[in-house]
Amino acid sequence: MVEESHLTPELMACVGRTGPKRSIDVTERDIYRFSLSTGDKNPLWRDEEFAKDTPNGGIVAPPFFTTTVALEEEEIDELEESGIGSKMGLKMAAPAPGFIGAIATSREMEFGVPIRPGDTITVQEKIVDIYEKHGRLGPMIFIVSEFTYTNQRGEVAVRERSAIIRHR
Amino acid sequence: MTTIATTPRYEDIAVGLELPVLTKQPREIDLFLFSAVTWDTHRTHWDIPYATEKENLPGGLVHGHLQGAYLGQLLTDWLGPEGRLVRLGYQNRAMAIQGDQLDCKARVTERREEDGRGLVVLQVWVEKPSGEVTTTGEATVELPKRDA
Repeated sequence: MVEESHLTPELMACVGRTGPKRSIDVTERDIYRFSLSTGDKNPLWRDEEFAKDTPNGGIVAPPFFTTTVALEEEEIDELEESGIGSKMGLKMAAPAPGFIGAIATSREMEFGVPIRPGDTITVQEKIVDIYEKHGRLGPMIFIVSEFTYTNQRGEVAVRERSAIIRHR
Repeated sequence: MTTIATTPRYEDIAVGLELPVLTKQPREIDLFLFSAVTWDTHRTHWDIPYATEKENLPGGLVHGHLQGAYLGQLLTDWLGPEGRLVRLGYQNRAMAIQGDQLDCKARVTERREEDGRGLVVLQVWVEKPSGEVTTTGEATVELPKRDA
């Protein structure tokens, strides 16, 4: 049986599209709050006294800290009923009518220089692939983006490739 | 404050070595706080009536990235102050729901020297007590050498 394709020209036109460049000033409090939210008690992220005597020379952010930078903030009354916002990145903004669900499905991260309090981290998203599969959720649209996080000196902190599934 | 492990040396790592298991059991408040701190406003994670009634989930959905962060924690706990996470890739394979016990595990699959650096490759995964794997992936870490 030939499955009906949901890869519309409007959707496929998103491949290659880049989002706005965004910059975020990182504070020690941001790093602390992220480590609290994941229950990560490693003193490398929390305890300056401990961290200053390590090769890092001070507090650094845990590897997944960039997750706090990935999604752009948005007015609450502009969110869809599902809570999904139009600024949750290009992957979410890509037009897929009827595909109300969204699930993170994969992520590849390469780590460069550590992120430190006081850094300004700049990120830009680019959609690199869109394809469809059929599975337990019915038709699923996979949307893959690349992100590069750089600091104020232009050094790469994290290179990331991540995908979501949009489903009905 | 948890005391951090001493960083293992590259020469002491053998293929097949399993890391100490990191057990997590994210509750509603864990999902809520991770949503808040990452500005993930999607209701499937923090609005339980929405998740169960509108999306037919058995409860709040554990973020794929939260499971990823747990794998990151498993590795950085073991790496200590002198080891370095070089690369981590993973796929979310099955759903994890609030209250699920999630055992985060890793096993060394390869070690190699590259430009004088000691690199160790590990298979990483998140597993429920039933044996169901919710997330699976691979990590590369760098460990200092004994004579370094």
